[in-house]
Amino acid sequence: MTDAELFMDVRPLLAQGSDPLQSVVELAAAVEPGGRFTLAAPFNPLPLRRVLSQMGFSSQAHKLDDQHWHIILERDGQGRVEGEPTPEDCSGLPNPGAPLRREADGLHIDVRGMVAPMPMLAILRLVASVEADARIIVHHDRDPIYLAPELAEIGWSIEPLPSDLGERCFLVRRAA
Amino acid sequence: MLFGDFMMGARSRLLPPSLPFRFFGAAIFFHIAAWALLTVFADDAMGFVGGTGHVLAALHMITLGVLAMTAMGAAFQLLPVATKRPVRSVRACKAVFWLFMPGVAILAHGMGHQTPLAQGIGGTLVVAALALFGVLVADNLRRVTDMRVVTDYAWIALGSLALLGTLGAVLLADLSFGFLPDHRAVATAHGVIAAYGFMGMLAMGFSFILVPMFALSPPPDSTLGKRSAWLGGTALVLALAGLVHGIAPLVFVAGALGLGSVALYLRAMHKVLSGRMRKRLGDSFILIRLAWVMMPTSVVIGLLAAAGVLSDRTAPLFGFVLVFGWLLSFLMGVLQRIMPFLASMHSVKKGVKPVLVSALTADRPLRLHLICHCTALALVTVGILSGESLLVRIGAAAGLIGALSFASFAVLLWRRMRQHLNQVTQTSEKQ
Repeated sequence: MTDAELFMDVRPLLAQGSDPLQSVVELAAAVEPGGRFTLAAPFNPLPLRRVLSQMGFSSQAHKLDDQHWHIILERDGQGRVEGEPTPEDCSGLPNPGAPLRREADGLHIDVRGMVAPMPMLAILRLVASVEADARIIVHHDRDPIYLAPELAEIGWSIEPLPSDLGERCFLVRRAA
Repeated sequence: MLFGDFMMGARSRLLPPSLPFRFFGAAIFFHIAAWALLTVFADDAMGFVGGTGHVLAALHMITLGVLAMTAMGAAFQLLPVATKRPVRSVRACKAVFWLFMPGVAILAHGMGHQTPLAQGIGGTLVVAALALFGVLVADNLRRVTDMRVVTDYAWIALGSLALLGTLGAVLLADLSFGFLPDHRAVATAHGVIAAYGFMGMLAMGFSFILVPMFALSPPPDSTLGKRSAWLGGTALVLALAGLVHGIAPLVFVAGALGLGSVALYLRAMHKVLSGRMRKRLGDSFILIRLAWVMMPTSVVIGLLAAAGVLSDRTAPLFGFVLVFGWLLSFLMGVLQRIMPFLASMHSVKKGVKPVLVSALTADRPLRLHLICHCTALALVTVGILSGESLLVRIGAAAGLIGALSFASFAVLLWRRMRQHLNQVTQTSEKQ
């Protein structure tokens, strides 16, 4: 593999609605131990970085502008995901199976890159563990069509929020 | 911005509700008609090993009218959502229905009344509809790179569809021109490819999407899924060669591989259910689990039939357990879950909450259907084994009552959805 091949821009794939996971994993599989490659993405793809960490890649994310991130990946065998929110950020909550962080506007859960129906499971687990007045902001890579009836059934609602390219954001809260 | 706006983003992948529901409605009609035919012509079912007549018509009402019809409606709705690629043409999907629904009706009429012209017209319409369905699904699948297990099953199902359509057309032509040296062998191959290849592979593939969704479980083990799909595909090729050319050892090898494929699939499903979040799965999963028992049972009975252990009188048990025991039980279990779910998704209007799935689901008709379906399976099986056509007739009548009960569930669902939409309209007019 030449140096020129050690860079992949997944933004065009995401803009077309394609999931780049398979392509990235194939590229990663070809990287020798100690080797590096760089991904260009419209957001910080934490779930993807966690998948690659299982393959021995440590990663760092650098935000270049609003919709342009560079993820530097090194196959050092340690699989560190730098900048990943720690569980302490949300102490007291059970692990829903997806990155979670608390911010001023509510709990943020990032289910991007997860295989269906894992996003739905993670969101429902979180909903089951939070207070009735909680606001949950979901970072998704698609419209969670099947989630809405499940949420309605337990008295919760889902509403879209303004989103960046390659990302779909939703507010999940107790239905009025 | 509320639920209605959220759904707007998914509209390209969520088809108009009339599209899947017309397929489901037709399936419910043929479900009633098939059990009714079997009730009336129960005597003919004893020792049925092929040939035209009302039993063949009833069999095709189930395989084409219920199983394929439901699979088409579900595939058009679920595949674009799962693959994240919209269906190429809604008009083409509608064309599939308008070719297929009358095609099945005319074909069944032709088979029942032994009318070659009706069989020819009906068969042509059915083959055309299946071919168009195959093209639409293949078009969606070829754009998918990240759902290997489901697409592996689906590609094998599409290959089987091409084969079964060809074999079906050859069989219909043979009824008029009589050129096949062994019509029964080709008919058996046609049945095996249709049931295990087309319907079976679709059912197994969709299980990898639907069962985790229904049970709220992590996705199934993809390695088990891929191995199951390709073992099943190999079994189908061997079974086809063995049946058409009369090579018994090939049929037995195919049966063994088929059992291996089933075992891997069931292992994957067991793991899914073991890790589920939803503890109460309801009556639908009684049917689905019953189907999973019937699935390997049908292969074993098929092998016994191939070995000559079953007499001509008991040979129909293979087809009955395969089609009514496995596939019909599975499809009815799935259908009673996805109909309220889809209705709920489609019941939203801008700024209004969707009607709840639980509010759309009428439990009593479903419970009656479950009891009647299980009774029908038991009585018809005992009737075939004992040679008592009265038991087959009573069993088929139980199946008919169950089918009518299922239809009442569908009617209630539709009425409740309409009521909800009317209330939403009135509320928004007042505002």
